[in-house]
Amino acid sequence: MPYIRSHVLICAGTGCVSSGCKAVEQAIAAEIKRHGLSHEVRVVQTGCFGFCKIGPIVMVYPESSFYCYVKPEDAEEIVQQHLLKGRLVERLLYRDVQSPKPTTFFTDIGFYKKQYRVALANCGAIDAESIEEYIGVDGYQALAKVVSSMTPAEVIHTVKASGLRGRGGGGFSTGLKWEFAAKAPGAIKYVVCNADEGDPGAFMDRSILEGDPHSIVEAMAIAGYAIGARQGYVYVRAEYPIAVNRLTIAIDQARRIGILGQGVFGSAFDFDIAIRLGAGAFVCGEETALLASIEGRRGMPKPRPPYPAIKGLWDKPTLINNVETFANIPKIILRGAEWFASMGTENSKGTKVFALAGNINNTGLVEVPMGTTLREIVYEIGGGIPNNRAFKACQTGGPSGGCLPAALLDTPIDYDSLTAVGSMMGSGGLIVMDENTCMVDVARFFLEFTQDESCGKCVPCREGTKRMLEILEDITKGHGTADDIDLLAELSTTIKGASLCGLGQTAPNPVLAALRFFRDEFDAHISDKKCPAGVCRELLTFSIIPAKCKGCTLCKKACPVGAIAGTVKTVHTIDTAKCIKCGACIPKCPFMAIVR
Amino acid sequence: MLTITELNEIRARVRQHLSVRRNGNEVRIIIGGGTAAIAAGSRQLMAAALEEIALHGTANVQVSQRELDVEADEHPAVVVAINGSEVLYKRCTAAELCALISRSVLTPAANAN
Repeated sequence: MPYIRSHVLICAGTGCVSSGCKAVEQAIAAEIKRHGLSHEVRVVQTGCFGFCKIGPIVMVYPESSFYCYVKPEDAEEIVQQHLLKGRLVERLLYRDVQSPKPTTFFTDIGFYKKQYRVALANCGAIDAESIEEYIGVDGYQALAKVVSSMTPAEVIHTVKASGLRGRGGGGFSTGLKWEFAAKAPGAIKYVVCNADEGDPGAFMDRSILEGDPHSIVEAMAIAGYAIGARQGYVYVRAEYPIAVNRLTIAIDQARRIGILGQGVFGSAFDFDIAIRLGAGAFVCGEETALLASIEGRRGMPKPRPPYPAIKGLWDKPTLINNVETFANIPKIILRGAEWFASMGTENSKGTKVFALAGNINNTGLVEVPMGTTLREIVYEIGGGIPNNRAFKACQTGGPSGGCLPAALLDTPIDYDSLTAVGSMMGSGGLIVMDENTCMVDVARFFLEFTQDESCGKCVPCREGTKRMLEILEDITKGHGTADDIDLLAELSTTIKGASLCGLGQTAPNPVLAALRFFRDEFDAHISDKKCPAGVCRELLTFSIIPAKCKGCTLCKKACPVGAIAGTVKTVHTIDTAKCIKCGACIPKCPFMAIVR
Repeated sequence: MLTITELNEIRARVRQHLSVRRNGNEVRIIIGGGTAAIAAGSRQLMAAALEEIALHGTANVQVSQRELDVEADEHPAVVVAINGSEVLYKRCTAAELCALISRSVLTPAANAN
């Protein structure tokens, strides 16, 4: 077998596919062939490296050289200089926003330094479409271990002892869930993987499915062995085509090689997995709605109990875990419950993956031990706020969570700490907002999302969120009244207490958190008819500061409705009756004379 | 169905192949790069090195290239690093490199002393 001296890893996660990694891969492969290096260099397509902002990303081994923003026209230089002559292509190396000096090695990049990858360990490290590469990094060893040397009870005990809690948002003990499903009477049971990731901006589960699909196949088989199930289903949204494709390939490979099917590793345990595609409804992330959708019915929740562990898919005991939860399982089995429990805080063990987005320099996926503070994530991993703007808030928990102010930046990220300050862990969306963000508008945005995604089955959620949204829209348009705050609080309490499922029960959270930490902004909108951040258009008034205006006429030319009057070298004025508040004039003024 | 023995055989074979992406390999062969090195025959050295490693089928060796601090007429040059300890060989021939690899791969600990 020939020895391949260099591997060129090209990120092929959704982010890098969008920014053109396929063309980069083809160009590099063509250059390798043209330079006669095909027998000594291999191009590998991997899952997401996590640092989506700087894609397409190309990593060259054995040097671990990390090239970013790579274009097809860079291929010749990478091959000729790096692969043929052994010289780094410095202009493509990563540069931190704080320092112009290039970072040569992947491990020296600030974004990765503080991360500890467990669930994402194989993402960006192996060919996601190769079962052999997965096996080469100890893949399927955990499954082999459980079926050959552990009883189902021992497997459940290990998962319980690890302290792993559900990563989909609920945070319920994974081991206990497995135990309930195992103890439930019935000859037919199911394992379901909830890959219906719906929080705005969240893409942790998608990246795991794209970058390490075999870990989910392996974990589901382990769960099947533990609870006594022979069939698993992955419920994934159809709008994740790359993830669906790689998962399909992984299941086919596992069947073909003889891992899935009858008599797993020569044992008496049979297991197989099928994929069910969802249409992207947020409510289908709720487990009873998800099960209804798998059964071919409309995705709507139903009251619990009975819980799915007792009466789930087709009324059979069903274990439902989220993708990230499953991704931890093979590592826990192989490295032990104590190893996993040694990371994190007292009640939140292990690591958590976050999708870091918003007004932050380094956007992408980060995995950190539980207990890491928001400040560490925002400033050390995320690289701070662009343009040196001030931090205003951090949204965790998606539409079910809340925005936390700067005063809470030192909050450790774990289930209990986030709940204690009025937010929640959620599935891992983490959106950073700077001083130019209007918190009333953010609350309105999240409520618009949950209102739109409400399935309509129960009145508190269907009607209550609608009324709350109307009140928030009134406030952002300057029609708010003094009673609105009390009404929002009252509606929130009712909706949280009376809604049927988690969607409604948590929908008011973003509004409640905004009222708790940013009450002054609500007051400014209602009493002063002002939006302090300058976001709510109806509350804006554009004007020109006479002392700064030089009469250059640029703003006048930019105005699409002729609302600006003035001649050359005279102070200009804005006719507020004509002004449509589009803001086109502001960037045109070289003297910063226009304010809103 | 796949047996655990077969699973372990695949793992051993692929691990060898994945050693390129692993830090901490016991033996690293660094062949001098750059235009002068190529002109002096570093590509032939590379081909010989890869062939020799394939012959031994070992997972503890890594081959890379970088510009070495030698005069142009001292190429082709090679650094052999065993457990982090580097030795530079100037005007190295393919046969000499193969012998070095063979010795290093088979008994890396002995060569480090």
